[in-house]
Amino acid sequence: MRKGVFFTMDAAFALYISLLVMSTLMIILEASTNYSNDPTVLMRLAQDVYEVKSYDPAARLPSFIKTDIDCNSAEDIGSVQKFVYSDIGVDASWTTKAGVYVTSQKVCYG
Amino acid sequence: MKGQLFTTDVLASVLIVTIIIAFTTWEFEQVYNRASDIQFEKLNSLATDIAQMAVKNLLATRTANGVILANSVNESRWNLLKAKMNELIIPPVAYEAVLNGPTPDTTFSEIGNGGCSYAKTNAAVARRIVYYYGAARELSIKVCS
Repeated sequence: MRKGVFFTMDAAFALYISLLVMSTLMIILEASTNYSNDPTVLMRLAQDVYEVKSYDPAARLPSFIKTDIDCNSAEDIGSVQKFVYSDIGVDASWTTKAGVYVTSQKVCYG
Repeated sequence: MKGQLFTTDVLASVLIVTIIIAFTTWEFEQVYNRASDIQFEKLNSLATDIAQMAVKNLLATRTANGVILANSVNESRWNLLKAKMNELIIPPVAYEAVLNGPTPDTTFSEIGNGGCSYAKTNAAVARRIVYYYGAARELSIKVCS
């Protein structure tokens, strides 16, 4: 057998264990980066909430969702904007005036 | 230290074989993951589209003159959704749909065509919010294969 640099069993096992630990860490890190929120889903939920509130502004929403100011610190927010006609609206100069205004609905996961 | 000895050549060849096996396994895993992602995207698209169709049309209440009230559901149309989903979703793809209210009731019993509870490897859920008699409810449509 050719003479060379020698490794003990301990050194060989240590190398194997290092490889195993590194590959396990890589798998865990890869799995944790797969999740992402689809913005379209939140946008559609915002649209749903807008519709539901148009039927009943006091309707209690399911607990998995939060709206408006409760979403200020949320990472993912869905939002829709609508033109609405109001005869008791307020214009940019805070004057009560009939007309078309923009209203928005924000949602996020609770 | 005395012990069983490896030469550099043996160690290098063992390492190379290990790396080749690891890369092959990793590539197989990547292909499997990609196939799983593509399957999920198909199911997700199906669930999302059906949920959109349900809340905007199939389940929506009609006024006396035929105007559709989007997101306002009518219990008499629940079976219509079931019929449409049975028509659109055929095995091996299965579905479950449920309308959860603020309090449990039997107005909208769970519908499905075989269930997603067993022998399924991939599933997508679309959740939407609808209005029914003074309360918001969660429509949940799960599609799996």
